Amino acid sequence: MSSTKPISAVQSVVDELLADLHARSGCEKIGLTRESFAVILCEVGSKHATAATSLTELRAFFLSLRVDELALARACAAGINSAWEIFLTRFREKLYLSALRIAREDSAARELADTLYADLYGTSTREGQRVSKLASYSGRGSLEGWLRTVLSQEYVNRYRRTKRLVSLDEESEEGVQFRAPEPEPVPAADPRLAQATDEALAFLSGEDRTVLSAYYLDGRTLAEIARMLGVHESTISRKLDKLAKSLRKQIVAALGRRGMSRRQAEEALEVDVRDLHLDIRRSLTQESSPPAFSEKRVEARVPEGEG
Amino acid sequence: MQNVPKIVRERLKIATPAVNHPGADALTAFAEHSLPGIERDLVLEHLARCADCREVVALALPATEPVQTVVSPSSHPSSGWLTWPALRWAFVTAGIIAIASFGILQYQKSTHQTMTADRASAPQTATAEAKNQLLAAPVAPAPAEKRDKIQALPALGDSVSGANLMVMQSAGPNNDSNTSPKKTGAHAEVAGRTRVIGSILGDQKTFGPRAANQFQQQNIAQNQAPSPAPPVAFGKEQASARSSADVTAPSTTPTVEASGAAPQVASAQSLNQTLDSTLAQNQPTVQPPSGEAYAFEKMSRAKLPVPPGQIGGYVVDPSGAVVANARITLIPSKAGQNATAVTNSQGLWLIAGVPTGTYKAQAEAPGFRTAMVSVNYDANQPAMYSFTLNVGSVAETVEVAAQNGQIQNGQVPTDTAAIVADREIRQIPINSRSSSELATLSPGPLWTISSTGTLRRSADQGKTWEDVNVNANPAALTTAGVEVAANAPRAKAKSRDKDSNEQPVFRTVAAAGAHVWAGGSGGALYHSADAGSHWTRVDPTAAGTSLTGDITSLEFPDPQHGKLSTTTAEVWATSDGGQTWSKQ
Repeated sequence: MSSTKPISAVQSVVDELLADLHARSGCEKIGLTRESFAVILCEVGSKHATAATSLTELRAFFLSLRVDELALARACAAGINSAWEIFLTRFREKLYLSALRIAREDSAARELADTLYADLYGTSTREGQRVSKLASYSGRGSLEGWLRTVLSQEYVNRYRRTKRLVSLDEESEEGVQFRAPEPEPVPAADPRLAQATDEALAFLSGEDRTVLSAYYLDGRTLAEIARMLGVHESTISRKLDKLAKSLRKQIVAALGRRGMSRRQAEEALEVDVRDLHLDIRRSLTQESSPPAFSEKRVEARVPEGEG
Repeated sequence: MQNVPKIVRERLKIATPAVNHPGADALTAFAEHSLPGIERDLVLEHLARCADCREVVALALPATEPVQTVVSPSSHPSSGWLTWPALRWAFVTAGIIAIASFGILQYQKSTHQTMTADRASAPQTATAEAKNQLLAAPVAPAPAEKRDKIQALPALGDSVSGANLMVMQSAGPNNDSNTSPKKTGAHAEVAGRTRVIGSILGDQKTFGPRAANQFQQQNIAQNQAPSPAPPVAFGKEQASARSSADVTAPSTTPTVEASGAAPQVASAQSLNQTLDSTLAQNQPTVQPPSGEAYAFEKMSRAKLPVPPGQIGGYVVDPSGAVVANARITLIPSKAGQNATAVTNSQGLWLIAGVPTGTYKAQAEAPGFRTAMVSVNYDANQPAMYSFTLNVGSVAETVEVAAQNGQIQNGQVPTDTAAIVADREIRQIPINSRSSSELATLSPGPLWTISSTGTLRRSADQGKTWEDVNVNANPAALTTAGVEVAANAPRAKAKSRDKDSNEQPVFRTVAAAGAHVWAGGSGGALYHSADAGSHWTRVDPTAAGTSLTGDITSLEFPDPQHGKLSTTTAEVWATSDGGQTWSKQ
């Protein structure tokens, strides 16, 4: 986000709201002066604002900030001891718990949290200045949530990457060297299919694609996705159902536009050996009964009724 | 869940990866759903492409998963679970109804049997009717010629179920019978009927103490028209009385069975004679009930399964709850021995072998006002005197026992403070105090704080309580204060306590022998070295600071060592009886 918004506009809004924001921030308790707080607000505001941002939006932005936590984080970044005391009493335990939840293993969690502490305290220096990660907190979400996010980023950056590395020994032990050579990547049956799919996907909103990716690619549960997006689980469930149906319809239609008959299009979608393979695996791992199963049951009942 | 075609997954995966990851700020705000619309869309667009950021967001979700997982299945799956609580309640309700109807049926059945027996006026077969007799016994006064019937009173044990009921029978003297008395007290032991009896007794118990007025009315009616025309209910009693029970004479052990084969009159008489004799020695004559109605407000006399010669009743508090361990003393108006009884856990008391006469019945229980009523007792009549022990105002008490003294000026607490002493001994938490310390507490007066923050003292184990004014004796305070001030420079008595006779609001009190400490609001700490006769105010100071917060707890395991804690989360300790303090 470029800060093309004139600083003066931000400054004026900050001046206008400073009294209120300062009162809410509790700066006195953590030893932050009003002036430095105003500077922080200006910085945050100008980072956020773009040329298109109206004054009203800017005002709303400032009012929605969690100024108390912003002040605390910035005071910590500035190295104020009383602020650190408050920070540690409020967040130390939570930080370790969050790390434990993310890393799922005690030693890794400790290491993760300790690394974050080092970053928060600012071990690296730039131009002789200690750089604390807390200085990048802008108060848009809760400080606790921000800490969790930073922890997760750290975890994703480090632990997940290292997890992917497999030692050569392990590789040989697992018999990787004996396994069949990777099958030649099957050339896409029809380039039209990929085009049609892209087209159908492009119609979807970012949220829909996020849901699809999270569910089908990441294997997240409905509950997790629901919490990510702040909706109910059943909403996600319905959305996924609807998306799968409409995608299929859209792709078939797009294929039709590309000169495939309806039957051909259906076949192109359905008769894919890889699909079948994946479906079986999913069926096995999925808790809820897949529709195929319930269909079978219906079929099984029919003769009973006749008999 | 429908599967999307494989191609969709592929294309989703291949989708051009995003480069500019949103910052932790934006992701946090997104996860907390506080991003404005446009920014949210941008983040979503990125998330659709970036698996790493999706993972970050998922990992950073707050740890509320357990709650979510609990909530979601209940709302998501069908209504099968929802019906469960309803079913459960239905079962409970059905169970209650079944039990209740069973009880009612049993009661009606037994009543019916009695009535039938009466109408038939045939010789009764004995054992089957024993319970009827028991049931009918409460409806008391028999006509004169029937007065000598067996009256059975189930002696209530501690268990309400009455599972082990022994029916004590004793006979009142019989002024009609001139026949030779036989020398046995009779115990009718009714086994196998315990359930019925138990349920009836249960009825009575709940019914008895709480419906004192009704009893009183019945009682008055009974007293005014004692013998000639007993109501229908009394008829029952006669019938059942005619029928006799398995009577086991404890002295001679063999069972005297007054069976149906025996002529009715004979069996009744022999039984009567049998029963009469036990208590005949000290019960020379029997007067018919005087007919005087007792109009005591606090006393109600009601019918109970109390056989002649026995007097009993309930002791309840104003709320209708029974009072256990209340001491009942029957003091004869003429010369004679006092008889005493203690209420059991059902609040029932019973004294046997009381001769006819006028008595004063006195009920006393710790924490309650002693109640005394005069009793015109006819040994031939079953008598039940229920006491309502009042902890309220004096005006409601019939008569205050003079020897108890120290009844307070209408301020005897109606709150729990009144019964602290009783429970204090039994329920004092001794995990922080050794049980031997209870011993040091018990000989001295008992202390408590009333709900209004007044310090109270009881010199008689909690029977009566008196307010203690720590500022009441300025003279004593001065001397004591001077003494303490001279001895301990830091613990000085404030002269303002003398000026203002205002009582501090106390919150806690601790006693170790004769040393009593009371603490309360605003750092008010008072000490008495002579069991509360003289008080000094102590102002703990340590390192230049003084105690200001409200004192919430005091601990003085011995007169020298103690500590207190305040609302300001301070803990002060002394090891020299309060002369110097240290703040911890």
